[in-house]
This record gives sequence, structure tokens and C-alpha cells, in this order.
Amino acid sequence: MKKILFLLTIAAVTLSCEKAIMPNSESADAEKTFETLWQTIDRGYSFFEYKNIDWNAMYQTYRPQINNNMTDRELFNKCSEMLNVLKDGHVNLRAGFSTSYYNDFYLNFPANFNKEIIDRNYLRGFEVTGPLYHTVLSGNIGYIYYGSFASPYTDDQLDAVLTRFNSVAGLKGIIFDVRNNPGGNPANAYRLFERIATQNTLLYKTKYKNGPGHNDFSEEQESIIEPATDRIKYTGKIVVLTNRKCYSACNFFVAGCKAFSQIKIVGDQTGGGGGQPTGFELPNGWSVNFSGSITSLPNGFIIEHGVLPDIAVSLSPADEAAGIDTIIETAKTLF
Amino acid sequence: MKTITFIFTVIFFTSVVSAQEQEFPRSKKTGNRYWLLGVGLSIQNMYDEGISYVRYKGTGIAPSIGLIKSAEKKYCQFSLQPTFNKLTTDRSNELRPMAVRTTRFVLDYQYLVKVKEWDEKLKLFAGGNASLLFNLKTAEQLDNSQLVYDYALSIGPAAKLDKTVKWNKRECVAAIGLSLPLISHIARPYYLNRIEFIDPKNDFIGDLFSNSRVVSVNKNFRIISGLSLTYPLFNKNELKLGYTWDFYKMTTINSVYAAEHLISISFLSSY
Repeated sequence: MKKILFLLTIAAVTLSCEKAIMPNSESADAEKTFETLWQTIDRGYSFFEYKNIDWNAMYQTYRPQINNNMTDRELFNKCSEMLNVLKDGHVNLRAGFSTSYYNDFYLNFPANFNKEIIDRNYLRGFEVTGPLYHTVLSGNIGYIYYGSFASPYTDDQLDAVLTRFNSVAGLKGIIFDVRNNPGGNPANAYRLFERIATQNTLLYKTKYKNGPGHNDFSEEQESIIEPATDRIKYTGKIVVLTNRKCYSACNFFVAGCKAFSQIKIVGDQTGGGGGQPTGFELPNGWSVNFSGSITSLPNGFIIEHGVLPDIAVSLSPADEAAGIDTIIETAKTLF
Repeated sequence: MKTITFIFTVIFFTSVVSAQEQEFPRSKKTGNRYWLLGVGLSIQNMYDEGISYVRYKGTGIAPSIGLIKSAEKKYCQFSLQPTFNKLTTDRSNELRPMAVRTTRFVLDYQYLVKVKEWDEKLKLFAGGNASLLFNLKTAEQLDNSQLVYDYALSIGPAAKLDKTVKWNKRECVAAIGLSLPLISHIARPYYLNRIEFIDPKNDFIGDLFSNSRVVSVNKNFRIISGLSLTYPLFNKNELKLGYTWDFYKMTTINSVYAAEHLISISFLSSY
């Protein structure tokens, strides 16, 4: 009996020690959730200075509107309203029943993309290799449509596509269409850049938040692509097509394209999304995503609000009515 | 920092090898030597400010392997203890599941000598413990911030109190142990748990070690305590029932509190 009591005492001591040392979860009430949300953004968001946002003023505006008698929906709406001040598609409040999302970066601009026209009049007879839809257009020009950087393609798949185009006699070049590509994994961009690069190439520079102050950033880190040496290469001309729905990883891809002299960017400015998304959980179980870095081109241009095309072209309504993609047609004249 | 890591690692494994050479001389077999093979139930609690201000808890499995040398005056144990847990919280719901999967590896080397004995039935051992802890946590709901890790290579004092007890007409050993790492080489993720996805040369392991530092108990407080009962079987083999409480608080740019309660059963094969 003594032994059992001894063991139970030891177990009880360890459990009570742990209870005393380890913090409990923060309160899940509306006020604490709001406070944590505001503070998380205050300490982590990277673009306050670039966007000239007074985050303390947002606290003064919204804090009085928050109380513990609010419903979850009311709290969500108020918090989302505050977050939309950041005008950043990488800022999302995720509550389970809904996710806030800022999308004015493309809603306030022409679509410059009509998938029906591409399917019917340009991609007819296409081949599909992984997520890459490709064909040879009239005029002996290769065309690839890539709809999401969240859909990975393998090196072998890229080999297959490039082998196809490299074997077309007299191919003038390739159009790489990333319009309406909302982003995903930048590694899918690097895979292509490795095939284009002939030497180590600086794509862009990034500084990361490394402390709670609005200007606490790491040193700028260079993103350099090294050429592939044992894979199929493509050294011809490329025209990349863009619009405002080209966001996040797609925006980084287009920013990287600026580093290559054989690539021209045609279409509309990209939608932006130049900070690396970062997440944190709130005490009530919601989470918030926000930008935690700043990326700029080698010339210092910050890509948060998008990358400018080399040749700005819009889809003309008359062309669209006639089943013509003005942007593709313009790209074809550049080879 | 890479150099410090390298030095720590070399010292750690050199000490293991040299101690084993001293303790397991092939030509002069003394005392008892065992292979340990075990399985356990791991119950973990975690509060990681790199993820949230919410406490997580959950259970998982914990296999273990090890080597034990037990002699009249010395005790030496080398063990590898991986645990795989799924932690959740009462804030989680079906609309928005919150879960953290932990994969935790603990590599321990303990070397103790007898310092006191009472009536041949109660023995106090004291010595040192070297421990390598790596706890990789994945919170998928946090996208790019989902990977959080705690790494610590620590050294510190350890002690064990053995009591011989009769149970079922056999001589069993009940033991209580304690280990307190004093000096540690630790690493936690960068601010905001960043992993540099937008860098083509993103090097997760390199970043881990470039973000490391040597600290004392103020930045890495860890306590490992345990109870065990060793029951003799046939041919000098033994069965060991154990309970271990392993708690640490590691602080870098933020703090993590993690506790593990491990209930285990191990087979000690004499060789």
C-alpha cells in the first residue's frame, strides 16, 4: 500500500508541476480574439510602411466596436473589415464558417482573359502534360497554358513539353500563358527558369520580418536561379501573358521573368501579392494569414502591387466578340 | 553555429563510443548487458507560441530501442525514443479542424555510478546525461507557417535511486530517476516560422543550424523524471514497466512548453 501511495504521489507531483508551469489557452472571447488578431498583424505584417498604413489608428477605430456579447459572425465581419484596410490578397481571416479574402486587386480591373476563346480558337487539338496544356499555334508558335502554380509539374513532364517544341522545325518561339493563375508553389516557376537560364541569374531580393517592430527586417536575401545542366533546355524567345488575376506565386514568376532578356511580358499588370504568406492561430480557433516579407526586383521595384508588362495590351471587346484573343495575337507579332 | 553543432555532436558520440568501450569490454564481460526493445503510450501537452496561444494535447505511440549496461557500481544506458502524436485542442471543430502532428526523437546517453548504498537494497546512482531532442511539429492549417521544430542537444546531471523489492517471489528493481540538462545547443524556427519558399536555394536544414545557439537552463529548462519496475524473466532477460515525464520550456524569439507522459513496457534481452 505504501508503495502504491508513493507512486501515486510521484505522479501527482509531476502532473501538478506541469499544470503550474504550462500556460493555459488564452480566453476565446471576442475581445481577446480581436486583441490577438490586431497584435499578430501589428508584429508580423510587412507592408505597413510601404502602404503607409497607420495600424494604431485601426485599433482606435475598431476596438470600441468589439465586445464579448457579439456573435461570431459579427466579430468576423468587423475583423475582416479591419483586415481589408491592408488591401492584400494574402491577408485572410479563416473562421471555418467563412474566410475573408481581399480581391479588389483584380475586381477593379478588366479580366483580359476569356477561356472559352482560348479553348475554342487556340487550344483546339491541344496536348496535356501534367497541368500544362500546349499546342502549336498558326505561324509556328508554341503555346502553353498553365492555370495554377499549385499544380506541380515534374522535370520529366517539362522535358516532354520542351522536347515537343524543340522538335518543331522552324519554331519561332513559345507563348507561356499564366493569366488567371492565382499562384501556388514558386518551386514550379524555378523548374522552368532552370531550363531557360544559361548562367546564374538573380531573380529578386527578399527581406523577411524578423521582429515585432514595423521595420524589423532581415538583410535582403537574393534569389538566384542556377541553370539546369542535365535536362532539356529551351533557349528561344518566350512571351509570357499576364493579367490582374496573376497573383502570389504567379506574381513571383513574372517578376523572375524580368531577369531574362529572351522573355517579354505582354498583357496587363499582374495582381501582385509580393509577401510570403504566414499564418497564426487566434485563441478562439480561427487563424489569420498575412504577408511576412517584402520582395523587390534587382532594381528595387517592390512587387507587392504587381509587375508591369513590357507591352501593355488589353483584350478588345470587338476582338473578344469575334473570338480573337488580342493579347495572344499581339504576342504572336513579337517573334 | 555549425561549428558548435559539429563539436557538440562529436563530443556526444565520442563520449558514447568511449564509454561503451569502457563499459562493454568484449574480453571481460562483467555485470548485465541488455538490448532494450519497447513500446509505449505517449501523452503530450504543448503550448507553442510559434503557432498560437492555445494549448494542445493528444496521444500517440512511442517505440524505443536501447542498450543497457548494469553492473554493481555503474549503470549505463543508450536509448532512442521516437514518438508520433496527433495533438488537438478544445478550440477545434469540424468546420475548422486544428491539429498538430508531432514527430519527436529523443536520443539519450546516461552514465551513472553508485554513490551510496543502504542495506544492499537501496542504491543511489549519480552521473550525467547527454540528450538529443528533435521535435518536428506540423500544423497544416497554417500553410506556410505549418512547420515548427524544437531542437536541443543537452548535457547535465542525472541520478537514479534503485530499490530491490520482492514481488511474485522474484527480486524486482523499482527505480526513480531524474535528469536536468544544464547546457544546451538549441534551435527554434525563425520569426513567423518562416521557411524561405521563395528562395530557389531554400535550405531547411541549413537554416535550422544557422538559427541555433548555446544556452543554459534559463532558455532551455528541461526536466526528465521517471519511475520503473524491472521484473526478471527467464535466462537473465527482464521486463521493464516505466513511466517517464519529460517537460521542457525552450525560449528563443518566443517560448514553447512541451510535456510528455510516457507509459512504456520494454523487453530487456540479455546478451
